[in-house]
Amino acid sequence: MSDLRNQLREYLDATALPVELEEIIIDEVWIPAADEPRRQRLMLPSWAYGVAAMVVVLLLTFGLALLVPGADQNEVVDDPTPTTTETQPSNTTQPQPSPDLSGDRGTLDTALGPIPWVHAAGIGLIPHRSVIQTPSGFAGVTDTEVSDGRYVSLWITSPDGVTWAKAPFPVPLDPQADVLLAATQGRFWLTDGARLWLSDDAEVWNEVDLSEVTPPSSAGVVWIPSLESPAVVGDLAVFPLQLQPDLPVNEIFDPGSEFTGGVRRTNCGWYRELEACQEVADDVDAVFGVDRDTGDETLLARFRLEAGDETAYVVDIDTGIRVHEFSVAGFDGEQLTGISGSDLYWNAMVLVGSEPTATVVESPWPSFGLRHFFVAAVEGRVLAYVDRDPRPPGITLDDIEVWESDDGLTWTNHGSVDFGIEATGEAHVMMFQRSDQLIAHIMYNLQQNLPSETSLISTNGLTWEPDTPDVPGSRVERIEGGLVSPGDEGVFVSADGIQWEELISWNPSRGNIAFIAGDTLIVALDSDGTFDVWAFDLE
Amino acid sequence: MAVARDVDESFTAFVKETEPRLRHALVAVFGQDRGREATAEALAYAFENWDRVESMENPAGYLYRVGRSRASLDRLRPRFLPVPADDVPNVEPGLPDALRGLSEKQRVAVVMVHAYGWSRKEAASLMGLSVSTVDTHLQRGLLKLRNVLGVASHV
Repeated sequence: MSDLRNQLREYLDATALPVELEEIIIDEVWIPAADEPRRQRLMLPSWAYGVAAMVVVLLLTFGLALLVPGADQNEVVDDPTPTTTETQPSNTTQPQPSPDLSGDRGTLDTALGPIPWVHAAGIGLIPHRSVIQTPSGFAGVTDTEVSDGRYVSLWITSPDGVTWAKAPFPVPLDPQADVLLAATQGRFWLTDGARLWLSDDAEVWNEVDLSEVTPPSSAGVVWIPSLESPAVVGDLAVFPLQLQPDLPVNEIFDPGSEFTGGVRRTNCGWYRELEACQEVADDVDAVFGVDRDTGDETLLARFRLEAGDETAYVVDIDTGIRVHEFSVAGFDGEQLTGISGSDLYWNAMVLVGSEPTATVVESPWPSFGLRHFFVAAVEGRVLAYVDRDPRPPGITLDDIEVWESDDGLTWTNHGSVDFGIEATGEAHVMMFQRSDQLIAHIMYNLQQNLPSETSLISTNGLTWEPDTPDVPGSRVERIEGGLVSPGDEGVFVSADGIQWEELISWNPSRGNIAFIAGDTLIVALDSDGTFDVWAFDLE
Repeated sequence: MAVARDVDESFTAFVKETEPRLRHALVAVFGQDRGREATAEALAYAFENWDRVESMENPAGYLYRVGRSRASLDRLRPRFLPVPADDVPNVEPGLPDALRGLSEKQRVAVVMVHAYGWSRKEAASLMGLSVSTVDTHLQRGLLKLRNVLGVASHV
């Protein structure tokens, strides 16, 4: 979990858009004239010119011609507030895709042979979440914001992959939950996170009785099925169970325990660049609080832990203010055993998002006692990757075992996964599945300043080789007779994985989407709220 | 002028207090560039309507909705910049796509709390939700990110 949080921070920090000096030096445009209305008479302090000017600059980047050309420096605009009717900036204009795909239908001659396509423009409804190819066409899940700000999932169908229509969900799921739809090994599965349905044709759905495979809850813990990534082989669906504690707060830590310390947070805004406000990060050795007026003032405080019904509070002893609160509903009771108040506080974020203790489902259920898991359907069987008795500070590649089952009842231990890597010490492995391939991103030798990193691929889940290099897109999907590689700038196809050919390209700055559903590639190009949609028949 | 200066000071203090949280949330909604633009729009609106905004019980939450609705971006899918692999080699390249795959509320909750370090209460206040609801979005968002990125086998 902490790794995911670090990745989020590193990514957003690395891609944060800085304020350039030349953007700031237009402050006098914002300086109001004395005879203007109130908002224009404001005399801002020097630093605030930067903030106000930033507003203007950013509005200009919207393509809003708010400033009259040739106006005096002290002249202000009439209305710096943009409206929603303004056009998009020209630099995000969607160019015509290449090669020529205009018209309603056509055929492309490619290395994979002729690829027929159909096209429609002005499409407002597309499957943002997931899409499958069914015997009668296509089905997908998208989501939409309802009037009160809530999002709900929608079931949509299409005869051709291009034009879509809403339809009732085929099963009584909760549309406000995260609805997932996928096709695996010729079967379809649909879940709202609490219930699971399987289907052969996406029309008749049969619910999987989870009660038969769920161990009984015992005192202090309950088992919750984690249905977001089941491995489905035929009639067999394997998914992890999350062990969720059901413990009163006062049983997992000692209320009233006191400690001193805190955590610094990044509270600097866009004025950071103007005032050189120091950037800070969470640090258990730092003190709590950054003064938001100065950005760099630090405070020391003493804290006390207090327990609510399902919430723990960190209370500033001197002020009595609850400075931090967190739910303990998702805490792992095992992890919390014997934890001190300060440890709970420092580790709160980690624990809330920590990997749940899990097990591989079968009936009767085994007691793997796993902390980490990954299940995948490969070549008609289910593989479960687990870490073997992890020991602090972290596990090594040798600790990762793979178990195999073709019926969910009996499991064969293949021992440690052989990634073919010479590694010592702690490692970090991320695994996921693309079509019929398993991918493993591995960082190893983490104790070194520059740990090694590699990406491996496997088609049988047991033997691994380096991932395909020099792929033009961001991922590779196998199709009949070749490979498809969607990326940020288009979709490429290849018959041999070496020579790649552009199927369609687009402006990378827009919210374009490419799905592969069965034998069909569906591409939706964002066109200011509606989509140009193509369906390529790759069969 | 004294009145104007008071307005000035109250607005600028409000911007310093509110802008980071507002921007972080709108970046989570729209992506880095559109989120910053939406923040500017929301604050421009606040500047125009300062008398009314200042008196609101939760002006930051109101401006969050202003930023979402007025930016003329709400019909577009979020757009997250690619991972600059040279700068952050440890970041999974699929992270932007994975973020885009979250629901908006999941994304805002995860980004605000886990990436920017805001408390659940602060995120909840801005989003107009209860802390427990933010917790739900947070946990589901994390679970989905882990599944998409394969961090489920965080070993």
